[in-house]
Amino acid sequence: MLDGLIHEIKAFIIETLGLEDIAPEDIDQDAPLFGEGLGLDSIDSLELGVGLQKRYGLKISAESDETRQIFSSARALAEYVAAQRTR
Amino acid sequence: MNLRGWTAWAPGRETPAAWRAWALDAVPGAQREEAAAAEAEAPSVREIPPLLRRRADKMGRAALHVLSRPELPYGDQAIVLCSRIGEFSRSFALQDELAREGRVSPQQFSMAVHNAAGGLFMMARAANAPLSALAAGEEGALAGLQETLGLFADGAETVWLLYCDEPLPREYHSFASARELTAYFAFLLELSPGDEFHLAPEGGDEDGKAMTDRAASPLDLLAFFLRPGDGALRLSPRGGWMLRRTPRGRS
Repeated sequence: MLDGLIHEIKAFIIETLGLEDIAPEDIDQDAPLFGEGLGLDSIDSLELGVGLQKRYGLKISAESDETRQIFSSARALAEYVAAQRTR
Repeated sequence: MNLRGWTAWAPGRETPAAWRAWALDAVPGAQREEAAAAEAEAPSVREIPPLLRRRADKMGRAALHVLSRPELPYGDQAIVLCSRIGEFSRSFALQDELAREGRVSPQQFSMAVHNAAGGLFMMARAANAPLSALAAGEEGALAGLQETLGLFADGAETVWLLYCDEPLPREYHSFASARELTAYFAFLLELSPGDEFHLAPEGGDEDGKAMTDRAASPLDLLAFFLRPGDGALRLSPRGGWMLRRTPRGRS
């Protein structure tokens, strides 16, 4: 169940951020999304926040320890979406 | 000033030979757009890392393409980016999104500035040279040269002068000036101080070119540089400045 959602989240990240030449399989589900790992930046986090609101009805605050945890990996983001989604 | 090198890209015109052939036929002031420019695909820009190039749109990719040609390597010089409307399709899409949804894409918003394409290139090269971005209406060709001469006066040994534009969105086509803005192109001139070319105030016109009521466009400027037989290009419609080529043997 969660595996399917992790794959969906990876595809969502790729589509939302326009990541060229990257397939869901290329994203390590436990690797950091920002800085090291996938190499996303702060503008990407804002873009993902807007995208998560549109796609899953989630509202994520811009700056909090919880936000850092949610965005720490594709798996962490999938777990959060599974628990909090409203659509 | 001297022209040390150039690169150029437009849909269907991607090699120096194609550009030289184009310049031979180019008539100053003529419409040179291709009907397909609005639908034309942008270059792939493989030279720029994916995480950076994904943020460039149509015009930005054309700009990054001409900035990244291996035959004209970047030497940390100042870049002057000169574009009449910039990546306007991005700004228009943002306004449309704002009107429909009340929020905009942060990523798109972050790139909706006139110097965005030059900034991406500087980031890709980890360069910290000066980058100017100009939008000078119909007189962009002149403004870019003036900015370049200003940098020479400031001690620059070479300058990269980049001209780029994309077609205005269809929604603007009912405006008369929009009909002039249908070209999709980017070209880069590497210029250095020298006496091959000079800007001269309006005076006797030994080349017999008639006064025009329009400024030279950036593509007029490129055609002039690529046609060795041309002696002068009128840059400004109100008198003002001519770009002159120093006749051989006098330089």
